[in-house]
Amino acid sequence: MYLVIVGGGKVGNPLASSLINEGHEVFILDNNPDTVIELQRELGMIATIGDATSLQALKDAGASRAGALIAATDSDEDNLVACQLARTNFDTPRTIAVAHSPENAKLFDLVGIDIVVSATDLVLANLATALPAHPLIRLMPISDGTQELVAIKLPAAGNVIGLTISEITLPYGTKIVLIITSMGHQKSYNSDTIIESEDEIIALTPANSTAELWELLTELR
Amino acid sequence: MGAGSIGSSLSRKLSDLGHQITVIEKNPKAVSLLPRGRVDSGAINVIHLDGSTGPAMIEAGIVDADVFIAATGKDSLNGLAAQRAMITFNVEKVVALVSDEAVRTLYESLGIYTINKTTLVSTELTKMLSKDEI
Repeated sequence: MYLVIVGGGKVGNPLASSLINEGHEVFILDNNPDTVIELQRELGMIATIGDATSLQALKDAGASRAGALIAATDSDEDNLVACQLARTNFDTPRTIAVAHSPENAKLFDLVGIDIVVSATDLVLANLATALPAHPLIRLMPISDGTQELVAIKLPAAGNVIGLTISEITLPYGTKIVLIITSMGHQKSYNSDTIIESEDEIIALTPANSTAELWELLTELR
Repeated sequence: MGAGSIGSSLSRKLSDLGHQITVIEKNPKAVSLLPRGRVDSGAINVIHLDGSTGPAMIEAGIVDADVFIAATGKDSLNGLAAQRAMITFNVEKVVALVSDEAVRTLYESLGIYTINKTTLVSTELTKMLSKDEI
């Protein structure tokens, strides 16, 4: 697929090289001459100097025949306008934007950017997985983020330890998908299975019930 | 949003007409163009925050605003803020200052009122020059 990336810096550069390795044809637009020289040195003549917010620059980069436009500059507002220009002028089939602020990520979703990558949320999710003591890990948003898959590590002195699954009143719409024991084994379970200390519960839950679920499972005795 | 030359003179004029104005300007040092007396008397309210963010808009009373005007020097920032005011806060009339014609067309198609500084100036200049020739 032919892909146009605007912003060839910290995000765009490694993204371009991995897309090229996957066999895609990539062209990068960046307004910083040094960044462009760096890209050309590393990846060949696939980068040019141009402004992400300029329709002419997008046109020159071949946005009109691109299968997707990926906006990965440091500036949220520039990423938004680049995607919207591509969408309205070239009917670009897919617009993908990086949003550095979580608030902007929500707005991008609302205005119809196809794929929004929320940088802050990604960093937070990674931090959460990196910190072993953190009891809630958001594994994956599902159904446009209305539901999510979460992992919750139960504290040793938790209120639910020793109860059976059927004795716990989960938030409405929440389903336990899997239980992993403190030894790292998957535990097959039914309604009579007893929750044990330091089990990890993988559950699918409505996103607005995640906090409630977390409180329920991590509340101390 | 934006207390540059346009934002400042605009707030003076709108204030003259009796409107209640809040100016959001990120840079506390960049308010020298605002009418000092109006600011001191409270007729023009000034807030130092990034005006493109929701919290800043709320602080500025966007919920009760009839009009939101994005008047910074950056087209894309004006557009983002205008879309937030329109979509998140349901402001009835949203205006963005732009200097790029393609961006102006885009924002107009989204329902944002736009003013293109560049074309306004060149149109005025053309008028003046053609008058001179006559």
